[in-house]
Amino acid sequence: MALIEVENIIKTFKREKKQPGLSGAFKSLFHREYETKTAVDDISFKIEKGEILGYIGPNGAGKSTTIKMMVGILTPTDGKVTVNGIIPYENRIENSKRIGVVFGQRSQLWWDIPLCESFNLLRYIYKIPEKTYKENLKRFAEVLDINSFINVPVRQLSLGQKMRGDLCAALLHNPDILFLDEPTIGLDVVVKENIRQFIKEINQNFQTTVILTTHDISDIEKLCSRVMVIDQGKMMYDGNLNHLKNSFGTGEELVIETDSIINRVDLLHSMNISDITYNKNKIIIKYNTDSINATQIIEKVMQVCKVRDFELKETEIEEIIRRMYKRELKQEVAKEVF
Amino acid sequence: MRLYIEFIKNALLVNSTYRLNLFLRLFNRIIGLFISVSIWRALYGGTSETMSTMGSVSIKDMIMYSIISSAISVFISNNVIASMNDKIKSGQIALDLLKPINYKVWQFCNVVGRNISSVLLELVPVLIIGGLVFSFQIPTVINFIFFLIALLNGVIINFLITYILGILGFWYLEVWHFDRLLQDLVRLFSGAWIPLWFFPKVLVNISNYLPFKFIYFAPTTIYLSKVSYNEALIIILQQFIWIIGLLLIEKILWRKGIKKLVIQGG
Repeated sequence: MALIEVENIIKTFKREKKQPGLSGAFKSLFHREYETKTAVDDISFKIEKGEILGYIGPNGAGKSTTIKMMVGILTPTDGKVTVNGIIPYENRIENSKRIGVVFGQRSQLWWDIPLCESFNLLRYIYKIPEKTYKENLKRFAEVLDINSFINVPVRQLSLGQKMRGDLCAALLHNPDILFLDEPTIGLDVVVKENIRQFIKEINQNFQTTVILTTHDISDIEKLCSRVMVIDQGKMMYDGNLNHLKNSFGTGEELVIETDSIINRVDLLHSMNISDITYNKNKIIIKYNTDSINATQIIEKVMQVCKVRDFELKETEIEEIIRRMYKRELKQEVAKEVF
Repeated sequence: MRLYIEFIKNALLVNSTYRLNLFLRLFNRIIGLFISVSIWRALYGGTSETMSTMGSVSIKDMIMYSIISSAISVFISNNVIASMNDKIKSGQIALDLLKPINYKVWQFCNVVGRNISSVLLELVPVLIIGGLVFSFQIPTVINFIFFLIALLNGVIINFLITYILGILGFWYLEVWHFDRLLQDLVRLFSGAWIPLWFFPKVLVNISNYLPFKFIYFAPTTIYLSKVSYNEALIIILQQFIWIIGLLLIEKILWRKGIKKLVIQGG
């Protein structure tokens, strides 16, 4: 049996329909209309022990809702979740002993007391044996570089420090599963890199299963072998990252600004480039990073004219999802035609 | 058990973080005590005794009543509703629910920790000043033990009421006005300001069906030896019945509420 099994879960929320304006607000005192919104729509998947799974999708896609059902703080409207053989939202306390959770936008640390006191409390909450606690704390504190601020009240910590503290807090009790909801949000590159490295190590050393939601595609690239894409509550893709990239492009977009107005750069058209647009003195080039890179393109352009500036845009998750839609639509259209 | 001690310790730590807040609370208590004693003195207007539904009540009794009542209020003020309300509205409750502990017990530990810090920083000063300025009535040992049990029960009853109102936040995000309403009900029906002796019959009847009088009035009358041992035992029994009843309500509401719960944001 897989470690986590999710079968056809649906979660709908009832939401009050807000009438605009003052009269609307007054009306709503007496009569309220509700609309149902489906946040998660019939999703199923399995996760095996030791996997690092990237869970991506645009804002409001239903990622967090799914995670909340897996950790047991939200009950699905329909369907079933099993984690470690138990149903999390029915055995919340039992389930919470074996998982660690980090929400990037919230902290589980106690606001008014020093970090070390928070850890100490967690030790008793999770009934961590003294030896394990000391070993883990020593090790995590070293890797995450926590020692320099371990005696500072949490409210005085910076975002990155808090995040490192939270990660440490979530792992002290050696959880089987680690849920990370946007763990790198708002962090600078160095801290991001540290955290990624740390997650990888934990996964390798303890066989901890990691479920990670993020908006940062490089989190996924560095960590995850498997990716799930969700949009508007529906599962769009579940498989390995390379396949996702190959199908939907590791496309990049390069915008080159030149000194003079360019109509056409012949050299470029002989290269493996998917799309070129000329707009006065700007050239917008879309290409696949598997076949060509930005340096090669710029080199060619520089042979013809002077480059004043250029900008490189990586494909974002939103873009990948947009492409997924396009393809789906095309297939549907194709079906209709034939 | 160790966990609960740690929680209480933690609550103590948190409470001593904001020193100004502590001083203001102490100041508040003392002023409150003096105001209430002055009002009673004015109302008695020089006479030393007055008749009530429970026989004659002397001005000395009333001053002692005020002191005990303000001492109890040190234990009764808790921030359960406000803190649960905050957590539900911000979604922070998600993280509390992800801990393998009983939420209610946790909240109660917070209240106990807060109370312990209040004993040192609020109760002791109030008692010292009360004892220095006004004469102090000391009950028999048995009455005092009954008083302590009744007081503890009162604290638990008050906690359960606030906790139940906090749970209502799962349905109605905004519950601070319940807090306000509760405070007014407690003030009126618990005898925190005016002992139930002076209440008209109608209000006494209503208060008999409510749990509030067990928070202030019951322990205080036991302290002042206004009830016999048998009556005191009955009061304590009634408190236990209320506690069981409130626990049941809490259990049902929690079970329903937790399914209703929508974690706000992100």
